[in-house]
Amino acid sequence: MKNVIVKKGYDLRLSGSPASELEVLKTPSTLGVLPEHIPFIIPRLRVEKGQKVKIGTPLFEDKRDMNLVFLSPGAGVITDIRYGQRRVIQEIVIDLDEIEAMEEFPRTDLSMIESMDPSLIKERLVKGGVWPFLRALPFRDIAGRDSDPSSIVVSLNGKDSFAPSPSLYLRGKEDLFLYGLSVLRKLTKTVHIMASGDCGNLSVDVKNTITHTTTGPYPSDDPGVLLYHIKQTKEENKAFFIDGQDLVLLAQLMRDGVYPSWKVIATGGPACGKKKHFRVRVGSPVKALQLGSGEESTRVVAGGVMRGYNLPSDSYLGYYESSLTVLNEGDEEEFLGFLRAGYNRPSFTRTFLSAFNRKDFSMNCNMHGELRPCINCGACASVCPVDILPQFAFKCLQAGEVEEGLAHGLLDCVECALCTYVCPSKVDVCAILKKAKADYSKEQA
Amino acid sequence: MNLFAKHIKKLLDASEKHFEKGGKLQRYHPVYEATRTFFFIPGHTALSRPHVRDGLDLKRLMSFVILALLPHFFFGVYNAGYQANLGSGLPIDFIAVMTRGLVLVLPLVVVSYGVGLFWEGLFAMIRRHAISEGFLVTGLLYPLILPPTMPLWQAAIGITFGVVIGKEVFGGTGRNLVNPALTARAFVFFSYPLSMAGDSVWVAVSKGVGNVSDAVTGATALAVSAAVTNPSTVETHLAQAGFTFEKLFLGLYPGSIGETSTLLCLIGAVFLCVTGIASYRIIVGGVLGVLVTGYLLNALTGPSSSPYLSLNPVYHLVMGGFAFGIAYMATDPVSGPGMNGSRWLYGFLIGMLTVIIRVFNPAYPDGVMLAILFMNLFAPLLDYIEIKTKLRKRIPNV
Repeated sequence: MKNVIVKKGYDLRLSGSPASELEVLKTPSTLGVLPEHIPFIIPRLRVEKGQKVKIGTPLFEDKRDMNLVFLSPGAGVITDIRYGQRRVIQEIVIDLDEIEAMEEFPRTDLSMIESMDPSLIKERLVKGGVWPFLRALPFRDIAGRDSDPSSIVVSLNGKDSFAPSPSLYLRGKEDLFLYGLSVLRKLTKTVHIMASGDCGNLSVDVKNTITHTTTGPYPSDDPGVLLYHIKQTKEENKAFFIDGQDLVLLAQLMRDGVYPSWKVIATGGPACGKKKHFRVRVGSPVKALQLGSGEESTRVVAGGVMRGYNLPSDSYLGYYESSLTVLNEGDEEEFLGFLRAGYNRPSFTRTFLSAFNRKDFSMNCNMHGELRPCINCGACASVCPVDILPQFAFKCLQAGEVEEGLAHGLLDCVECALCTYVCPSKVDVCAILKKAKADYSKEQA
Repeated sequence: MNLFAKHIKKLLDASEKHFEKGGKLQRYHPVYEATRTFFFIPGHTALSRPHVRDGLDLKRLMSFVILALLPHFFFGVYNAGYQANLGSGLPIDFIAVMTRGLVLVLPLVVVSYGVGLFWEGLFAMIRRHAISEGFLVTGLLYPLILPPTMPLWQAAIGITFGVVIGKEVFGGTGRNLVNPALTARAFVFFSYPLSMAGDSVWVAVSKGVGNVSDAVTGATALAVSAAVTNPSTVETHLAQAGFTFEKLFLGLYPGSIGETSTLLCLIGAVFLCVTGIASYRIIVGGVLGVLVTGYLLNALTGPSSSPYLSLNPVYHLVMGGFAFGIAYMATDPVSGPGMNGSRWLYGFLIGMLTVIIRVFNPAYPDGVMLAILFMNLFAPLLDYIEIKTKLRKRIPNV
């Protein structure tokens, strides 16, 4: 086991971390699927309103690769398909049956895996709707089926608020996890298993598989950050990565022949009523969790405050996300705010008394200031975990110098959003880098 | 406090409609916005990730620099009044001195802010963007590096040049090549040498109560050092002229309004570095630059060379405007370099150039202003070189 020290980054110390107790939530009466929040895909529906589906029936496919299907997490009737602006498919809502039927997928024993052709494994993963759990660096798009990754990174735990603890989602699933690793080893020669910081109590079998631990602040949990620190050649840039829990789900489909429909999520945040772990149906409605939100002045964020998205309180859990954070909006004006002592106002600099505060901070979504020109203070460069100089790189990109941006290490960017967080001029640096990456990715395709 | 806030809010809300689109004062919207956001940080929330943001904004960042400058302002007021009353034989008790000082200094500060804000506001209105906080610092820095006897019209022309040519023609805050406050000072320095020459400083004196103010000049420490001809040490000469090390360090001697006290510069620099606003690398680099160059010159002195070369380099730190310049001007993030290595070199070269200009160039007794402006122009080059070397070490990812 190698330890990788990540020096740069920043820990938010957001209050309301989830307790390590696990509540099993009953199956709700409806489930939802959110195609809108699966990055890069162009969804095309395979079902229509009123149609009956089973667990594992394809709901929609990706227009870019028609074999890439996304399956139904529940069995019942499709009662609604909601569209957003420009006909974006926001939600597919399924009313569940009393007794749910399942699509059958082939079962594969561990012994069979060894002798299987990798292309057959890939085909089963794609048909089983779990292939998209594998994503490819540097663009973080769904892994290409024809591409040959230099390595696959499995990340056990996340540092963004508040990824579920591996000790909870792996409890009783250790054999599935190990099975999943053998599947990945058929796809590539090198599999890195990374753990960052505290993983709780893991079984010895799982612990022995860990190849890298990372020490450091957020985002030292990111596969891209690990890769940046351990890579020797540029060929190693083409790596796949997968979340630890998603690997368990992938293994479940492959070994047991059932589309996985349960997962562990964590809930927390300063405005959250229940700060703990839940075992829930994939695609559960947020309301079923009864987080004490739903008021006007709170915001539910799916997938961490640094990387996640706003989830309306009547929406559902997404495909990738396994955490919900509830924050106060904080949309009030603040009188003479620039003069406040700020014992409870966290800052990367030491311009508030919060520099002496050792407790976790109750943060809200307020911008704490207005957009101003970049003054080249360099705060972003001192937090960037992959040593990009965001203050120079974003100016290259805004001037249209993509080549220079690439030389600056644009594709090493792990989209952790720390540059945007620390900026005193409130420039959304991360969005500029992310957009440039996405544009470049399109150009490459 | 809350009642006060409520009243201001009511007032602002009532006047808002005039500044909105279609209102009769819509051109002046930046002025309204600047006023409103001065009193109230807006309730804007992050629309997308990251959903939380750091507490620091430019308003607070700039107000911290102003906070660091306020002791200089008050000491400058006291010092200007003290020197004036001392020179004209008036009482030097605290109240009298402060009153005299305020009469001398306050008009300069008012003119600097008034004229500067006029230009800022004008450009903000034409460009339809918000008035930037950066000027609040420039507007206070500039009068602090002027002599108290500076005619107001000259100060006004100087700040106009500083804001318009030093900053706005490049596109405003964040885009300027050189420090606007120093550009303004350089302009008046070269345009009106009689008002500020650097080798002598005017002290306001009055012939009697009620009479028109007049002024006398006295040599600065820099001029005394440069004028030493006999082989005895410069330090003794300085002491004889009244410039002991303690006096130069504490700052109660005639000079530009805010720059005389090295002690206050030290306190301000530590404050800005500890809070994370100024780069300690530039300041430490600058001090090292002065000391290394100074000791090198000491080592090079022969019997025939100017005695100024043998001055103890520590004196260079407390004489003239070096301490003020390196603490507040060189650390301007916009006109300085953005890379940490470059910051060391940038600071070091400022220190070095300051000493070299002081010692070898009789035309400019104090070199720090020119040294900083010169290095401002080199900052992008230093950054460029360091970035190129850094990028070469990256494992490419294309």
